[in-house]
Amino acid sequence: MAEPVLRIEQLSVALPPGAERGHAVEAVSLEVHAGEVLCLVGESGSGKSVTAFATMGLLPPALRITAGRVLFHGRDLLRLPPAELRSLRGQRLAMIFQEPMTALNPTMPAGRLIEEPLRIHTSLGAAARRDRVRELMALVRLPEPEQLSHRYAHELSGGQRQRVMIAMALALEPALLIADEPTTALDVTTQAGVLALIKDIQARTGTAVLFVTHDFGVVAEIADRVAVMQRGQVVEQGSAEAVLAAPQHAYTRALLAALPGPGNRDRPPRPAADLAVLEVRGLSKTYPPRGLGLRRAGVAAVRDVSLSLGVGETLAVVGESGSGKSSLARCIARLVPPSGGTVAVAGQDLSAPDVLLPQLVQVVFQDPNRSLNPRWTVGQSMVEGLRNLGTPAVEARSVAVDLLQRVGLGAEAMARTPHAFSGGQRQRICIARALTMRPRLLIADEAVSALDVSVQAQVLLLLGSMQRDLGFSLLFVTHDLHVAVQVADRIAVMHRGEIVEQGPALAVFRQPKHAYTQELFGSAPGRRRAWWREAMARLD
Amino acid sequence: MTAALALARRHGALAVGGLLLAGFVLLALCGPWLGGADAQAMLPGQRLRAPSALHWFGSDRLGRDVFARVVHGSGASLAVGLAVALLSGLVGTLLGLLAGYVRWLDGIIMRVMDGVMAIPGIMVAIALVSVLDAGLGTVIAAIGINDIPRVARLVRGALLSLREEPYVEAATMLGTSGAGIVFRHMLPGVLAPLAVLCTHIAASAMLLEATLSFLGLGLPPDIPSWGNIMADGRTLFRVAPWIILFPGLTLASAVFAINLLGDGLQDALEARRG
Repeated sequence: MAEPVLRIEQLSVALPPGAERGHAVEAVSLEVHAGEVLCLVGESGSGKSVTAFATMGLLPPALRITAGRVLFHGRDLLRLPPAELRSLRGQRLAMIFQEPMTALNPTMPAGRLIEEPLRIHTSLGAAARRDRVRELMALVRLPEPEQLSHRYAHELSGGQRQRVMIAMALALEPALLIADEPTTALDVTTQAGVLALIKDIQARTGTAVLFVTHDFGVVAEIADRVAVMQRGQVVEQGSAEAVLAAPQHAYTRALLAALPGPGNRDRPPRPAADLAVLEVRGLSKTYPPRGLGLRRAGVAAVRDVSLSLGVGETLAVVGESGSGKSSLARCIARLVPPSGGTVAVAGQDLSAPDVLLPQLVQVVFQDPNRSLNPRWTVGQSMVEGLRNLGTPAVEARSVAVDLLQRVGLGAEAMARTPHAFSGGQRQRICIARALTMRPRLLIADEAVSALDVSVQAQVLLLLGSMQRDLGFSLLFVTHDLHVAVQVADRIAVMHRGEIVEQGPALAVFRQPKHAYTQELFGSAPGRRRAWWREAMARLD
Repeated sequence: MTAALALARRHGALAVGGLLLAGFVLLALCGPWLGGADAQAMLPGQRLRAPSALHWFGSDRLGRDVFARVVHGSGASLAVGLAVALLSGLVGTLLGLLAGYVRWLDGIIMRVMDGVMAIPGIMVAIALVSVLDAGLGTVIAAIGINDIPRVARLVRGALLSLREEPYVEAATMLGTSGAGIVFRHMLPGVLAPLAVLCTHIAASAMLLEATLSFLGLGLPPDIPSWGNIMADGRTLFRVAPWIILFPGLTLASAVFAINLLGDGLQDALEARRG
């Protein structure tokens, strides 16, 4: 085999003293060849991003490389003089980042951004540069380059921003492209386009790609080879098909088994529609135009949505960003006032002034790190609602401790602040806190989206068992179809503020009827590959 | 105590600023018993003496001991700084909380604040002092009004971003009242930057007080402050520069100490948050 473009040998990166483990990355060895995509996959904290950043020489100062070599075409990047590394980094190595909004300079229009590397590293004249920019924009399939090149980052869509960043990275035809979760912030249909683009460009230019991701579907879609990382070490490495379809290491197997999907469903079929707990009729929400817009129409986030939810039933509302699913949830919880329509929970109209909302509806939010007051102990947060109702302190405390134990935490958690807990544990606390109010309806607004796959699986299991014990109805808002089909009895698909399809979870998942639902499901990464579909079907 | 020592070691500016300021406060409190000289005693035989063992900072045109006057004046200067910080801190916080939480009050309060900010501080102070009787209270009020908008803006801005925090929304869902959310959830999140801002306000208030007194618009001559001691020495600057020099140096070092404290506080609070 030819000399690899990138060869990482026994790379170790030390964490600052006092961290939970000594090394962020420990004795990692990898090779990326020309014309190949190597996916580095793992959960948060596995060291996959640190490996990528170490390769680019972009580690934060707190992290120190203690051993190993990073050979790029045989030259050790770790021992290059800074000036040489810098010029290499501009021309032969390129990187694309997760969040294109923050990675693109907001003061320059797209055209200038793409032109920038050409201006710095080449002697091309202005006209030649302009031609090359147009060529690059065509390469990354940005429509109407003349107009788009004058737009600033905030005027582009998420997918367009990521395409601009890819065009910048490819401007000098790098030998190695490092991509750090480049599609994680994108919607699934947008993601499908960007992944296809990277794969296509890579096939045409022969660029080697080191692709960091946490998403096995994305790996199946794009990888030639895979390295699975756990706690700073590569535990399994091989061809994508070998690793994903027949994993050898226990950790890889556990991760794949934890992937959400119909196979992990834990819900017996249930008789349809007993007494409705939630009744939504003709709900709509229009946000007023921002600023002093004269006669500008507001944004209709939710249009005439009606749905109902029975006792102990789970309805998943699925949609992409901007579909109005979160606005719907927030209107139901009355965190924002709806513009029209009615919401009733347990027969009580929520717009009535005397309604006791906290005991009817509770919400679990997306980001567990921001859902608990960082200055309060868990105990203070847990008893807040009950104390508001006038429950005596001793009684409130015992309810709180009981619920904490049910979600798998001990009474000792009461005295600690949220900092002492992991993201998954914090989300358990948030669930327990919501349940102290014994709500009839629990709304989970992307409640597992910020969690790692294995933690996500545990929290989903927890939600299911709490629901069986306490009998609340669950409105589960998510962008992830696989999560939806795992937890829900019924699925409602939202698109542009409307529910376009609604039905039993498995039926919607297996035979989607609406064109948008079909597109959404067809965009799920990895579906192109037969071996991945088979592996997933085996899990089902 | 050990925790305080550890904090001091990690944040040098905080420790040095705090110690210096403590020294000034001690001086102000114990001043009358220090050195023995009376700040108001006029000794016609000892006029315009240069600094010496007898008069550490020299004496002025009435034969008063400048050191005794500076020590005596530190009380007034520090009191103005502290009182202005407290006054504008409290009023500004209250207005900021109202503007940040009650949506319809936001526009009204903040436009008034913009109006106050548009007038140069020294003009407001001069106008107020010339209308009202000169005295400690008037000077404090005159200076404090200028700083209220700075505090209100800070608090309102912090509240606007805190309002979007999921933990605040969660508290709403748990039935916590508006006041409970503002005072128990949001206000504690603002206290750290507020404390930093208030130290800076205290420092600038002391400077403004000295300016007013220097212009003859501040504290009446019978209350010595660093500003009016300097005003006294203004005409004699060429003959007896010490009358201006020493209170000026004292003022500069006190302001330096407070600013150091404020910067140190900021670093310490940021480090804790991180």
